[in-house]
Amino acid sequence: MLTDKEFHTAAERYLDMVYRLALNTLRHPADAEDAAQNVMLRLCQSREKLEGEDHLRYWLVRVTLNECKRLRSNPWHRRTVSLESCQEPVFSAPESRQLFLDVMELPARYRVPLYLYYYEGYSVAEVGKLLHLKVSTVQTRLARGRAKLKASWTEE
Amino acid sequence: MKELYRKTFDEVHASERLREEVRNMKATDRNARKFRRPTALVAVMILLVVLAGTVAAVTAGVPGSIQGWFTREWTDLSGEAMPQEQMDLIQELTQSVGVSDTDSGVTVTLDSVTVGQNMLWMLLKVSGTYEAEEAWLYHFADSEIDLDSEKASAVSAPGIWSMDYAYQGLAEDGTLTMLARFCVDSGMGSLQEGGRMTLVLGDLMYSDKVALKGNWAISFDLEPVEDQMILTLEELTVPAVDLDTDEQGMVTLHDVCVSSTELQFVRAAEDQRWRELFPTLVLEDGTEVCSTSGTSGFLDEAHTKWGSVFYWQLPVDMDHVTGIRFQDEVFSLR
Repeated sequence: MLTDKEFHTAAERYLDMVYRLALNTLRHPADAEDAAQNVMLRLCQSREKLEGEDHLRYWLVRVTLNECKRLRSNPWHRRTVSLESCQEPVFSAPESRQLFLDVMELPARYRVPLYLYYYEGYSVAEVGKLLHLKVSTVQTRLARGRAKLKASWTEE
Repeated sequence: MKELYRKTFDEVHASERLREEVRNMKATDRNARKFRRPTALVAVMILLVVLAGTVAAVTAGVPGSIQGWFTREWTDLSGEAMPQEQMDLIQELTQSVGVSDTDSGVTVTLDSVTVGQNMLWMLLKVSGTYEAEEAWLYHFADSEIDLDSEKASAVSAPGIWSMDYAYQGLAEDGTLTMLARFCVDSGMGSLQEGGRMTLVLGDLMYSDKVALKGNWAISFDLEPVEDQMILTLEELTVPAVDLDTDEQGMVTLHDVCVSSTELQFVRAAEDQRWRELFPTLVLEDGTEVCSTSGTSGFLDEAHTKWGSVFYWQLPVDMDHVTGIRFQDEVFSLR
């Protein structure tokens, strides 16, 4: 069980990661904030022995993915939110904003592996383990996700 | 591409509101079952209710008692007056509370509760003068529930829960009245065992604006409820939709329990992606009672069992239930 100090240090370090992963999974900022808050509450109350940074990070990614699934399967969240209704983050460069919009337009099955691989730096095998997918499936999804992003980029 | 991707998501951050919420989290009182609703979810739920058009229909003179609400629900779905057995069941599950707390000159009273296994309906009354026409826009920004853990099942993972409002509006006597619904996952033990509960409500909101800053804490004893009839099925394979691909298929539910207030079941972790379709109770006279909302979560530390609870529109007398329907398929419970 984490002490208050350990929890707040971990929360300070990983809140953005949890939020970004939730946003990539759920696409809607309000839902992502709900999920991130619930994940942090779970971390705060968890009795699980988390040994080292890697274990903590892995635990947070798994709990975030599960929390997002729970939110998506809740009848209150059975809806599709138009991208226009999302309060998108503010970006310093127009190309970043465009890439963010393009990523959010991708289906979740491509968004999440891309995020874990490109941003969090997990290997293909690790992404597979986190998402309970075969390595070949992760590779396919990464390739298709990248191709779709490149296609949008070229069109624009 | 990779560099731009990283640069882009470097600029995506959790909001200051969320940071503040997390800063205020404390790892104290870990034995208590504590349930907290994130503020953002309230706005989402209210928007959905508005879109569904369910609240607007009840804004004028909402029922001032839980029994009144269920009676109205029954008449709406069956077209007939509620039978006596049905009334008796609701009476049996409903407890008068009458505990209040006052802050900023406003008194919030928990009038009464109806208790299911994993489900609690709570009728709240708020003092003051409010406009009837838009009273459904009032809600509390934040809510927390602590439940004395002495009788709770030993579950070390924190519980999963949900809370929403069945209605908000002015009762016939002008009191702002809200019926809140609180649901915990099936691994948390039955609420019908009773216990000491504390409901904490923060800031009365009007739509997305703070109408009144305040904090109301209501502690009360949930009395144990006599054992209710539960129909169980070891296994049930039902129509479902894949959340990732939207394709339809079938999923097998295990340890299915159907009670007067809710449906519970367990799925293997790898079947989480399947969403079962619209569980509905079928009664012998043809009346159908839908599931309204619910919650899901892992039931074990190893994350192998995914448990779900769906609660019915209102408590139903199980003697008159003949089956359960998922999409177009009806399964006999007789």
